[in-house]
Amino acid sequence: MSFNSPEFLFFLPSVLVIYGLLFRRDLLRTTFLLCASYMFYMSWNWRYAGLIAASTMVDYYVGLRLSGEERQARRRLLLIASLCCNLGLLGYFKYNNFFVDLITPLFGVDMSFLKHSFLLPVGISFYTFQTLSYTIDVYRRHIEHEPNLIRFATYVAFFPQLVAGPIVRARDFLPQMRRTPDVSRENVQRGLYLVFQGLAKKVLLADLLAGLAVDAVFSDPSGFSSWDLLMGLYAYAFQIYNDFSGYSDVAIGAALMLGFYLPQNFNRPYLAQNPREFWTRWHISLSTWLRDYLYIPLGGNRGTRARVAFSLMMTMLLGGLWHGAALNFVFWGAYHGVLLVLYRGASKHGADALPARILNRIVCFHLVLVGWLLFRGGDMQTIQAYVTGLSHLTLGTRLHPMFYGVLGLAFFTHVFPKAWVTRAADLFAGTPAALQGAVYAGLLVLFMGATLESPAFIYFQF
Amino acid sequence: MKLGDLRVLFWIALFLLAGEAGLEFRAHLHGWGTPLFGDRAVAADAGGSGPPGDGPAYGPTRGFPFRSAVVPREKRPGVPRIWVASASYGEDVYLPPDEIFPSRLEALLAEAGVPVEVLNASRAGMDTDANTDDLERLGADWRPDVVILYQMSGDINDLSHRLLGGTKSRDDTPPGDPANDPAEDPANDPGEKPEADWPTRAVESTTLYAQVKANLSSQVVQQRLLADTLGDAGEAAFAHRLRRLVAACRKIGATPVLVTFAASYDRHNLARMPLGVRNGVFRYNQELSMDGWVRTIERYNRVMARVAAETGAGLVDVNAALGGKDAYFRDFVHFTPEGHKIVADTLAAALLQPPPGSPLSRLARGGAAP
Repeated sequence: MSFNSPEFLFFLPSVLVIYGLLFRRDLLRTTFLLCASYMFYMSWNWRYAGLIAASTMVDYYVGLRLSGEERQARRRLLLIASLCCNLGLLGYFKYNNFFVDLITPLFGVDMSFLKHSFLLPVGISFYTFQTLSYTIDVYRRHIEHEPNLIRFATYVAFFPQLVAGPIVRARDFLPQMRRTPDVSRENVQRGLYLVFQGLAKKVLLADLLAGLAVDAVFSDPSGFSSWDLLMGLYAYAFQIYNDFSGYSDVAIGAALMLGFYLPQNFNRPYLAQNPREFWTRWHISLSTWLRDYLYIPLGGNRGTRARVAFSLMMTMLLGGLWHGAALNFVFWGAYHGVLLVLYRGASKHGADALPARILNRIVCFHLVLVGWLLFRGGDMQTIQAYVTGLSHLTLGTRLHPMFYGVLGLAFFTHVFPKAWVTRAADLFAGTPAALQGAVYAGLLVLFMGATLESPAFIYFQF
Repeated sequence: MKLGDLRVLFWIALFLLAGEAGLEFRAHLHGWGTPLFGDRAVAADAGGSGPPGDGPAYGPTRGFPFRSAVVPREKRPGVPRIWVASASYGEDVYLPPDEIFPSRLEALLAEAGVPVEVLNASRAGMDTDANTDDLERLGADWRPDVVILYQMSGDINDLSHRLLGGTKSRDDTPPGDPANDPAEDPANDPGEKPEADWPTRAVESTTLYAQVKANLSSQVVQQRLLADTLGDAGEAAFAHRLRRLVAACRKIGATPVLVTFAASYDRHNLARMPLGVRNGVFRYNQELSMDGWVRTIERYNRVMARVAAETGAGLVDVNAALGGKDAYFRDFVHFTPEGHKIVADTLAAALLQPPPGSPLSRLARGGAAP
């Protein structure tokens, strides 16, 4: 059940109505939310619900034991046990086959018997990081353990962000669960606005860009002019942004309708002026997770230049690998690592003048674009064909006018001043409910018409 | 939290329901079946239908799953049975059953002194594999002597989804690739398509959905980079499907007759195709260009002739009689009553006067399998 499926159109309102009826009963409300979240997850593959349950039980138990344990060695042992279980599951389901393929040529022995044929459990990378952050924070005594199993299980499986984030920290979410959720008409309306904003990003921008150009140019780069390839690359940059930030908007909106606040995951990343700023604007919940639980423990900004460079590279390499068990993701992570290291080493003059800021943004955007080529290209053959095609500097286009319209719309919605967007949203929220209902109903019809194959969100595969 | 906080959701539902009801009423006034106001096909299914007066009763009925004159399961001695395997253009629920080509064919042959029983096994949405499945399931009970296959757009749609539905065209599949082996090719896998969940089915059954798909999605599809061919893999898959049907016919002792496919527009008049007709095509197919459709129909008609020659099946060239003659079509593939008449005339002529040595000679002599 994807957010852009008819199933979700029935699921979310049904959950909200029942949730509203049970709202005054704390235990019933939370239990219902837990059941709804598992039902949501099991609509993909009911067997894998056992993995979340196992991960939940392990971390609940470890959290419980950590709270009463003062001996540091035992505490460390408990933490290691949790890391082994969580990363073991993630490693087995996500990376086992990749590493077997990688090491087979080294030994020259057929090791295919080590491979498995399980599908990647949806959302495993997200909920694993979420449960890890809980255990590490309890270990570091940054938060108290959660004694209520239902509450903890709901935190792990909370359906709006279960499958593709944002990755929510226990310290942000569990306190919200302990008090009565903040449900009001304003929050429901703001949440609904975000849900529709997210769906519009997904259906009207991301999917259309994919269907009108991206899929075609990446499937056969040699059949297109350099201009079309460049447009295809621009289109992919806006496709992946609108796809993923659209998902985050729906997640944040759905959570808000239930009375919970999820962290912002994107902040107009293509307006970043340098690689470091890009990572404070793109997939914020992952980049801050990597910073807090990987980069800083590795040494962070402390130590020699070489040490900091090593920490940066390791963090970005693992960040790349987190996206998928494939070499192109590793290269993508390494590429961003190199950008960050180079930026760190470069002298920084503040760019105050508008032309300089614009130039920085253009340069940074195109550096990011090279990364997207590695990310989307998949295999070296496609990437090579794409680069070769770009280098021919040929003009002419096979792309239809509608594509340019959608690309332009994606660009303007990205650079549109944020204050204006917020103001428009506030104004809309102040209009009569009937008018809002009419606009949303019209949008649903538009989504229906613009949806061709109902493709899944890109980040579901991670 | 109060349920009143969700009032915008109720308004959305109200507007969507009102829109659906309005569109359904409009469709009902135009004589179309709708979920709220009833469906003509459903009415026929419930108890059969037929022209007023003393004419025969028509199926489908309980125990007679064909859209043709109802006959008992037991064969009448000396009366051959013709099984028509087709899709919506052979079923045509929007015309009275006696006006569609299978019934007209039955009448024409009877007038010519060759009484036959036609079993019209055509249903909307079928492709050749579905026709073959039907024949394998019901053929042994109903024992047809001749099986006429008039089918192609269902296969083109299905193969488009299978071969072009992803991001990669398999047009340039190298020789030796499993994709070139019909047995290994997923295009030939007649496996069941997964059934959508009830919410999807509910949404897709609405008139609103149908209208939006026909008028909006089809316009969007035309802005995509569409393929102009299904390639060699598509051709091999179609040939494989035809051979499978021929084999199924032979298994029950029936003579297979392959019929070339006709569409209202071909390469000569494609530029004149009205927007409404074009939109109708792209409502169901989001991968193949209009030019691709026309070329594929030409190519697959040649495949059909080749398979007929290679397997000894009969071949009737309806495309020669109707292809590119838009006056005989309601849209790209569905006939007007006059179009049905020409199809029936062409089939009757081929069955009554088969070329020397044709497998249809037995029928022309009035022969029926016991």
